[in-house]
Amino acid sequence: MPEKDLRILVVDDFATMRRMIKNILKQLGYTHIEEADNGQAAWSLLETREIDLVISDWNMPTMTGLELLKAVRSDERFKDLPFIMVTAEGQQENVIEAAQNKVSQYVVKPFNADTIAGKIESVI
Amino acid sequence: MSEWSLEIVEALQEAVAETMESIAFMEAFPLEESPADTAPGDLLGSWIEVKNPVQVGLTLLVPPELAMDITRSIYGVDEDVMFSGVEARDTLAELVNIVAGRFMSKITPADLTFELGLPERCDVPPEAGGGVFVGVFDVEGARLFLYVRGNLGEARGQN
Repeated sequence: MPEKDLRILVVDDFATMRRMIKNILKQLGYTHIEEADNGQAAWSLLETREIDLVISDWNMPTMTGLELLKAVRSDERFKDLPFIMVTAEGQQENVIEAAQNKVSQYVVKPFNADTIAGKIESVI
Repeated sequence: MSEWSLEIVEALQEAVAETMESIAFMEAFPLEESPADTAPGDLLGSWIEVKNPVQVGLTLLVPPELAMDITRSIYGVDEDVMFSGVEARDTLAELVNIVAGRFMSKITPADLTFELGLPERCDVPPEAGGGVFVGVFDVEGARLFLYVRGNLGEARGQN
């Protein structure tokens, strides 16, 4: 699949952040973008849509990004799905916990388009 | 060392400046003034709690017009576009979330973990008194206020 045809799911409880990430993705040439405002809604989308990459916030109500990651990695259908975690908490222990749960990449806010581009390239 | 040491104040100022520049493409300059020097009027804001190993609260307050300008900048739209309060509050919530993360990352040793709560709406500053630091910033002529309340010495692994 050509790289720019990636179907990307953006998960964040704040519309502003989803919009910002979408704008960056569009700048980078990605146009197939789905959105969810929490992990539970993201999980519902994963079960009904073809998704090639998840970009998820860590800190969300209802179902956190880490909980979503664990659910994804424990499901045979999605265990190899590229998953980028985005968070304001950039401490070593957080990174370790995400890595232990097989996150593909980890981005600390604030970030820019180059950061996102590099992370996507590294996981696809 | 005072809990409001120069190191901590600079970390706070850097966190605000980096966040505003990266997210809103705006510059935030720290000012040597207190909120009492300005007439804040009605403000919109967001509060976030830092949990573990300390309890520190950060409150970010801005005039409604600045909240709208920041939102327009993030969305990449012209100044005549009006957003609802929902988008503006989303913006402030995300800003305080990122500022808190950046600030705590700067002052917390790498081998200590901090945890952020979920941002909440808060349109008033914390009560004045001991243990409250307030940073005042100029953002394109408007004022941004950031209040920090808590024992930051614990965040640095000190008791």
